[in-house]
Amino acid sequence: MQDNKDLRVHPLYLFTMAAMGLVFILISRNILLCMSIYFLLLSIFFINGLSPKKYFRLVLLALIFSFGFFILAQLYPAETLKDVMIYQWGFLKFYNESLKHGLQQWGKLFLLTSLSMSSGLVIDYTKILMSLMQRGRMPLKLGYPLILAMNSIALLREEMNRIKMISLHRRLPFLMRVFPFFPLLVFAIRHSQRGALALVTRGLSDSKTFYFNYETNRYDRFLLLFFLIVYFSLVGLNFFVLK
Amino acid sequence: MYSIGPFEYSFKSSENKKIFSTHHFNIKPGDFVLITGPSGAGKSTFLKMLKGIIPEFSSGELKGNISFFDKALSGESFKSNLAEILFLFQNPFSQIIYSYVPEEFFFTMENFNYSKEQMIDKKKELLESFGLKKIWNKKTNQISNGECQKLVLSSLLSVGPKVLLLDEPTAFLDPASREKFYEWLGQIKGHYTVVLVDHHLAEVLPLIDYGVSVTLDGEVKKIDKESINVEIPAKTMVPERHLPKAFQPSKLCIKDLYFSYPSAEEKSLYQSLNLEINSGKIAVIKGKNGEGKSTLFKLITGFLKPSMGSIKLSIDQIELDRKKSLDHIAMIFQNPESHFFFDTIEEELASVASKKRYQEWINYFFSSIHLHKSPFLLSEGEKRRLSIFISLLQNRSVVLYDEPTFGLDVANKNLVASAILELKRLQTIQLIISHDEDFIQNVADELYELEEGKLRLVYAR
Repeated sequence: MQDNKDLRVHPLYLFTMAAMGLVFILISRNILLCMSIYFLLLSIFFINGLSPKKYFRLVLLALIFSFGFFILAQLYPAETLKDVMIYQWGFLKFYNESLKHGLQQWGKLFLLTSLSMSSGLVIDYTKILMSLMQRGRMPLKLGYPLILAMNSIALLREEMNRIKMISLHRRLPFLMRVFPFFPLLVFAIRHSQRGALALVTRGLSDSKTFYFNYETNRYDRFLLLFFLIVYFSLVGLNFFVLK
Repeated sequence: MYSIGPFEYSFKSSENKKIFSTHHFNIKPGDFVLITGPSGAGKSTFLKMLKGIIPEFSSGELKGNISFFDKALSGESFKSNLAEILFLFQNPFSQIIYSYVPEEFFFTMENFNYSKEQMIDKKKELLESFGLKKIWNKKTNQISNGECQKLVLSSLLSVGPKVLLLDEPTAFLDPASREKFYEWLGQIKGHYTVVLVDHHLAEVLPLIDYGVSVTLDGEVKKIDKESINVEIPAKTMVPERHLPKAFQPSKLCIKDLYFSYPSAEEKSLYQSLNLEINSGKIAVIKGKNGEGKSTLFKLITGFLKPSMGSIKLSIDQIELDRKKSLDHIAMIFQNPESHFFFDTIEEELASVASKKRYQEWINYFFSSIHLHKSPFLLSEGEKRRLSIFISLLQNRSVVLYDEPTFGLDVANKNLVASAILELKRLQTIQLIISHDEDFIQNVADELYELEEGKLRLVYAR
């Protein structure tokens, strides 16, 4: 399926870039450098089809989630961060060092959350597995069951909605309606049994050809190289120049 | 080709259930064989034995002889027979691997190491004959059951098997596609060995050479074509019995309905669709695969929301809001397993009705059933009957059925038809999606055809 006639990057490289970016944000203490890598990755995600509407929805969720941590950090600051109190709002006391630390954590947590969530929307994991299998880096007998499992998520979601609807119609107890564990478990087991059988009966063996090319192309490699140059420049800046 | 019997296969988990044959018979190359028998007898199990799936992937034990070109079907021969023996499962979605149609289509050929050029040739050949052009750019979770069946079948056929084992291949197909499928079976007759389970006896009988019957006690035997009875469902008569109080007069009204799935390229499935059904009426909707019949039910039940237009239910001339109307609707989905929540059949029934009430009706639906058995261990036909039974016990003013006769033999179809007619006497509104012409004839007061986003009244009586 991957013919790369557009500007989209190969999902394998996209995954690599996202993972490297997340590690950098996790380690670096320089919020400006973190934001640089964040916006670089975000631009690549938008090129890869991230919808602005979905992104802003994620941003809102990430903001709420990370703000929760900021409030927690102010409510229960570490003893070492309790220096000069700069403001008091009811029982909430803001210390200078604790506020700085809290804001930095809030920023980092927001960047990490929104970046990882948006990467989940643009990275096609099926293509990553297909690419690895085509290159012979992953055994077919491992890759295909993983693909089957990933593709069954949509079916599972649909089945869950259907089960919830039926449980609502049948006026089943609240807990069974909200989380129909037993029927979902049965569905998952059945689906994996049938899926495994389908893989076997449709002839999956140790060798196969591929109609579609899941390999990377020059454009992908160029973009990865560009990203690596920027990435390691930022790493250098962070750990050697601005340390 | 196949040398069968005497053999005995015992299920490990089931109460002494077995499939056996005391005689020997052969299936020769080019034979066209129909497996017949009542729902739950073990037709699908026997078909799986012909592929080698049983005992290769089952915990049961097979003693005796079932061989393919003098070799056992399981063990080492299972792999070597993969391209030779094609198996199409009852539920087509069970065989879907990928999320896109083209990848799914090429998957079987890829596994048998076809070159890209060979795959392109096969694509040209099969795309047209199976009508896959319409769905080629779709995701596999966006296609209908019938389309899925065609996709998997075309993918399997691309590797040129010798034997086709088909488990109810036309169950999800609309009449036009079904007719085409039987025409195609007629064309390939003699070129392949075909063994199939199919309840459309009238259509399949002219094609077959002989039958293999599986009885309720599990006996498998070869039978002549002449001894296969084409049972056309008789006009169902509803016996007089004590019935609960009839429902208040109700009306289901769909007005100027439009709906499209969120994916941007999809236009509205319906073009100002209108429908009005009153109490005690049975309306049947038929239409080609992928026209949006099941989606319409999801909209009525509130599973999906219309893009435009309204769906209103009135009881005793009082229009109910969306939430309240849910309390008056029961829905029977295509997949009966979606209806089961508990460990045993007894618990399932007890969750919707009193013991006295379900015991009064149960013999009507099942000649023998172990209430302590898991509903998931029933045969496909039994599961279907149980899902209908559960929904009927709920006493709702509106009942929606999505292909209620799929997987059922003629006797069971009649049982379902008579249950539906009983509900008609209770003034229930019943809306049914079905492709089963005999069943439609038997129950429908109004027949609609869903075509190009609109419902066209075929007849009302």
